[in-house]
Amino acid sequence: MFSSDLIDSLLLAAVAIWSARQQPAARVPISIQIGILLPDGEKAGAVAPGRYLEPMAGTPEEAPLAAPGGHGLRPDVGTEQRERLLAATVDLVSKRGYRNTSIDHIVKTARVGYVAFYELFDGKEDCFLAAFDRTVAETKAALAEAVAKESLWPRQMAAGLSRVLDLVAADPARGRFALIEVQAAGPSAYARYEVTLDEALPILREGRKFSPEAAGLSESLEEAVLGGVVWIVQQRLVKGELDDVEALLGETIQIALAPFLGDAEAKRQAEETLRERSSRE
Amino acid sequence: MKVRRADYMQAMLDLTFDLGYEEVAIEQIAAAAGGTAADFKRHFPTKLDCAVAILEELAENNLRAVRGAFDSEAEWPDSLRAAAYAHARWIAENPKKMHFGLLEMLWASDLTGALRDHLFGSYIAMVDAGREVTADPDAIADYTAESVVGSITQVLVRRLDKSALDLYALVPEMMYLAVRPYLGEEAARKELTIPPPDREGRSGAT
Repeated sequence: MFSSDLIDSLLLAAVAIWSARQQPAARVPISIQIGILLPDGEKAGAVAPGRYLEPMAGTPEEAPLAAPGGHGLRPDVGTEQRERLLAATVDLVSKRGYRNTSIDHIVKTARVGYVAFYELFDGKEDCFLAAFDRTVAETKAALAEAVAKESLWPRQMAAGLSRVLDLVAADPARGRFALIEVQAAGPSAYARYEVTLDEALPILREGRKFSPEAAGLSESLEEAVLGGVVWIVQQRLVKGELDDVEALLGETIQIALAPFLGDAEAKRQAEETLRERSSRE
Repeated sequence: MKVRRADYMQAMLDLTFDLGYEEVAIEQIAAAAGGTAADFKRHFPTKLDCAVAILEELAENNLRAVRGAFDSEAEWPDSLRAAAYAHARWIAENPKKMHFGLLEMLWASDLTGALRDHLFGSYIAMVDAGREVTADPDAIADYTAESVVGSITQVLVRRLDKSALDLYALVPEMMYLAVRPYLGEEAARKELTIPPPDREGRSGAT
């Protein structure tokens, strides 16, 4: 039995050969016709955002790099196919896990051909990272909107947690994709996950202004608090226990705020948040 | 010489530490153990089966050390502190197993989920024993112990690949986090001042 990676490699080779046959005039190495084999340094800034190259005339050294959008697909078609591939990746990885999801699964679910896939992405990891980046960007936008309505740090924290848990409960597959599977998707994905978490640490650190004993708090406190909250959400996702968002929200607000504000004030913030949500419904 | 099941497990542990789980093939494991792929498959039908066997052994071994330390002290949080230092010693003595369990396999598969629940459920129970010594157990959030264990796990995961990680030095901070919800700020801060036992586990607290 062949592994999914082996099948992907064979399909990749087939696409490379197909591309070479379709563009005989170019006579450039397959590695240059297909962006996947270029080292990162060569791609950076040169072939954004599509990661693909136009068929080229002349020698590889003289060949111009494609302008953004120059992937041979009509822009609207490329965008639509990209969207379908990203959605399929989120869905499949959340259900099957990263390791058990192949490019074959992704293209079939998205109803997109292999050639189009490789015109849009370097491979499975690249597609996964694009889906992860977009999920993070959309979550950040939703968080910014929720937090902008509040002026005080404790209320901003509560509003942010409230929005994140609503997003996760509304789309657990996406939550599982971005919070759990990303950790099993290789070093690049894990590094992005870490960077994403790191961006939240300075926001948490603002809470020290509310703590009379802030100077004595552990330097890893924010990392630990964030890790604890993320862990709880991960566990609820794994166990399928997201039915009672209100209870989960109340607990996570208390856990996140108590080290900075004390237990009584953290509990009060949690209760106020739940009251506000209840009055909105 | 006959290659034992344990030899294949050790070879997988070593190779995964160097290359990462995804990059390790059964043929490599078999060769490193001095066996063959066919013989490996007589012990483990798949690579994941070998990984699960490693995790089972790891969990049993780790819990024996940590639980034993916890039970050696009569009072909480002394019991939790003893368990935390025992855990730190276990990690220092088993870096490859820790790497395998936390970095490579923590979320790897549904097959490993039950083991994860078993192992972390035991840690959570040791933290949540704090309810027995707190004045008002009902005032403590249900997920408190889980968040403490999650905090510690995430801090460990993020620091495991850093060189010169001194887990002993981290224990007082982790104890602060674990004790504060149950016994309050003052008792938690005391944890930051309690000297660690020596590296063999003999108490240094006065």
